[in-house]
Amino acid sequence: MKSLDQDLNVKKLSIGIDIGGTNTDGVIVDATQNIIFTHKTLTTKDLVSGVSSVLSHLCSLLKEKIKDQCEITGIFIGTTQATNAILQGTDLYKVGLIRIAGHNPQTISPAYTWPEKIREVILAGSVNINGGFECDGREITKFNTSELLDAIDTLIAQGAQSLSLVGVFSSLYNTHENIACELIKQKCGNNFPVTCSYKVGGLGFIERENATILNSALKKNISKHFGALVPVCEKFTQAPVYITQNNGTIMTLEQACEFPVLTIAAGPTNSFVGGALLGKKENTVVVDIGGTSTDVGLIQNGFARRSLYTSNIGGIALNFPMPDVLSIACGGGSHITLTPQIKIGPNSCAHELFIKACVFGGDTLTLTDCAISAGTLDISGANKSLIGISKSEAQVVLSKAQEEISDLITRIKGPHKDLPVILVGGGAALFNKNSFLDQCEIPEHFDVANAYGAACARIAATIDTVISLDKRDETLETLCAQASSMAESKGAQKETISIVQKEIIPYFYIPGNKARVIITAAGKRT
Amino acid sequence: MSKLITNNDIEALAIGAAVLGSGGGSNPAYEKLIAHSALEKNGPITLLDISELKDNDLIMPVAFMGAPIIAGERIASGKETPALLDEFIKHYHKMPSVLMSAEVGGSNIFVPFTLASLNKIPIIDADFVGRAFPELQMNSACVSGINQSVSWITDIFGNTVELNLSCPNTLERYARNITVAAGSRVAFSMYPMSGAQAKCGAVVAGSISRALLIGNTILKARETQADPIEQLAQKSHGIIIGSGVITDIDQTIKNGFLQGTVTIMGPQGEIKIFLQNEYLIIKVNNNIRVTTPDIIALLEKDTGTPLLSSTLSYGIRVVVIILPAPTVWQTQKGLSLVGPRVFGYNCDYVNVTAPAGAVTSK
Repeated sequence: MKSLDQDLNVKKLSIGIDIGGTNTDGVIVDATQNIIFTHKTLTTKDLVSGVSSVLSHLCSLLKEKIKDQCEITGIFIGTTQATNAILQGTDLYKVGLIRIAGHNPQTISPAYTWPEKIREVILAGSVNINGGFECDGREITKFNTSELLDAIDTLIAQGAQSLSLVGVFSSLYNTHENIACELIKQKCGNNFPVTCSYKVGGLGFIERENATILNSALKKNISKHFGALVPVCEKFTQAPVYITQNNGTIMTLEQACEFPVLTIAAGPTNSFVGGALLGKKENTVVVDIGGTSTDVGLIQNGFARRSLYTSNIGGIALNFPMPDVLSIACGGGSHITLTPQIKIGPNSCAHELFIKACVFGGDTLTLTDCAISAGTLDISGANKSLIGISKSEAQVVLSKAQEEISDLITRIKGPHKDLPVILVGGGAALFNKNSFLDQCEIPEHFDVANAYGAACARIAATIDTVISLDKRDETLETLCAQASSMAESKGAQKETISIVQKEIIPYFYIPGNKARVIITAAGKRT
Repeated sequence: MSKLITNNDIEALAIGAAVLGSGGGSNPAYEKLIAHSALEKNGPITLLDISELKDNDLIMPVAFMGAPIIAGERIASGKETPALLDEFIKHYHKMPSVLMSAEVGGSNIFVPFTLASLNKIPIIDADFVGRAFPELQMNSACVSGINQSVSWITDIFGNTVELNLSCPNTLERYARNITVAAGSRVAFSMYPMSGAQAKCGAVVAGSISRALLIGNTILKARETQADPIEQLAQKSHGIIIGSGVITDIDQTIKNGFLQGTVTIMGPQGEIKIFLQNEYLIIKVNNNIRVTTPDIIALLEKDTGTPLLSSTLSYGIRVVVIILPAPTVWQTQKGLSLVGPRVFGYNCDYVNVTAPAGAVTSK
């Protein structure tokens, strides 16, 4: 860390916090995104005490060591809370689903593919009503107001505490979902939790329906936990609290409470964005090696590349914007089997590494043991003589892990073969950066890349729509301008706004030369 | 001879159907769910071998046509195939003896399952294609020369159109236009036929069990940590053309179809696959090695997962494997409907697979 007493420029500061499954990490960064302090603590069950401990540690360091007047401009939090809530089934609303589909599809019932336990906890009931659109914009059938009002009564009688609206082709034509949402608010009050599907996902009815139901369910848990964060943060600073979302940009607390499902993949995104910034690269591959798994992602123009395929949380297929992540169950705590052939993971000691690994007197051979035996890692308190395998065997295991990770790097790079590679995460220390095929870098503060990514998250606006390619250039230009002004109105500095993503995916069967277009404009926070 | 198809078979059938789709035929994901849901509600279905057909049995073929993307958004209502059945009964004054999937490759393999399960009608271990092809006239009944008399198209509301057309190309043209008018996806039934006609070569026999064998081979290999693709080659007369990493994908949309090439670099050099929805031609180091109608599958190396032409991405490690085309396509008449020249390639069919007649799954 640099000598802080002489640094007179420190004035505006941001705090980034990552609440992970094992650790809660925090960083303080200055206006030029230099890291001033970092702190790591174990994640607590209630989330807030972990966050409180990180904040109190960081703030007292600030008081002790920084003599300048400083102002904290915001606390930026990345969390896996939404994912955990779904997996554990805690504090979720019962959801009533309204399908707006004039052809009344009976072939796939709502939440059909879900694990039964999660479905029972979340879905109160479902009703199908008239409406919805064909791919060319015709109504499948006319929307019927009284049918919707009846549906609301039915679902609330079945125990629904929150409603989800899913209309056919609503990602292209959202009129019916909007009308229905308006009617629900009129009937049940403005605060009644409703989710429109077109706001959380693209084409793919079942996956979008899944995302919408989850979003409605999560509104309870997220409001409760995020709500509890505010008074904790207020003890230390009056700065606003923001939540990072799947695409590496920020939402206000209110937005996060409205669209909690959009925070579901924020963890890997933050580590990719943070890793790229730590390595000072706009375009790079980032490898996040944790205790249980390794995530590999690609940063393009400072943003995590978005996946075009169906993603999956807890066995539930989803299709909203998620980062393109390749993962393997290979991390510092991964169990190692040597016979009949070398196998790494999928089980891991996770946060019990310091009890269960051989070097700490446990009986589980882990990747960390192998790294210590091979000589790439040194941890104080580790006893090398407790490892039951030879140095050369350990090196073979490490090379296998490197090979598996290198395969992911090759896959994610695709044609962009010259991209640099940055290793972050606690597990990065296990490897010699020169032992990978690609040239790798392990930047300073690699172990808090997630929290750093959260602290540096930008403000962005995304347009995801379907256009006709007949007047392609003209249409795209208009959409880019729209996205930029949307970002500006959300608080991005005008001169830093750029179009960071422009994807055109042709729908080759649909008449009218149509394509899905995804445009994101983003800029630094003012 | 006959066997029961239960929900334990659905995953294997989906994998097998995707392999036989030769890169096209659309992703069976939603149709798989629909079939699973129907069997869960109404019980298993009976699969009949073609030898079990009586001469006067009435066969009703069914499938969907149109844009795969519609199937994923405007999901089938469930009224489509029952409406086809109603029309069939109105026309013949009796129930069909058996149902048949018109196309085994891709999602259509599952289309007769709901009707079969609900009405306790068996399905026949056969189809019209033995793989996937893009147009209606590319079917075995057309090769065999049997008369196409009546066909029906139904939409999501169960509205029906009856087409009394004998020319398969005209049928394709009319049906395609109706499909667009009906929101780009419809169910259809064509070439209803007798058991005697089916036994005389108007269908590709053994298609469903072939899909099942392929799927089960891959699933079992995964379970036992064997090489799924080696196993598949052994069990299904497959020929492994080569392996490597996808290094280039060049796709554009022409005439409504996804067209282009995919390049794979590996120990054998460069493999280039030419595709139009389906994979149609393979060049190895610039020499034509395989052509349509042989079935070309790209499988993910470790898991044997079949990769459709619409879901390819860079850097995936793949193995290219060829399964022999149904013999009907290796005839002169068959090649005149689905050979390389039909798709605009200036070359003739290269028969690299087993000699004609080796394709049986019985």
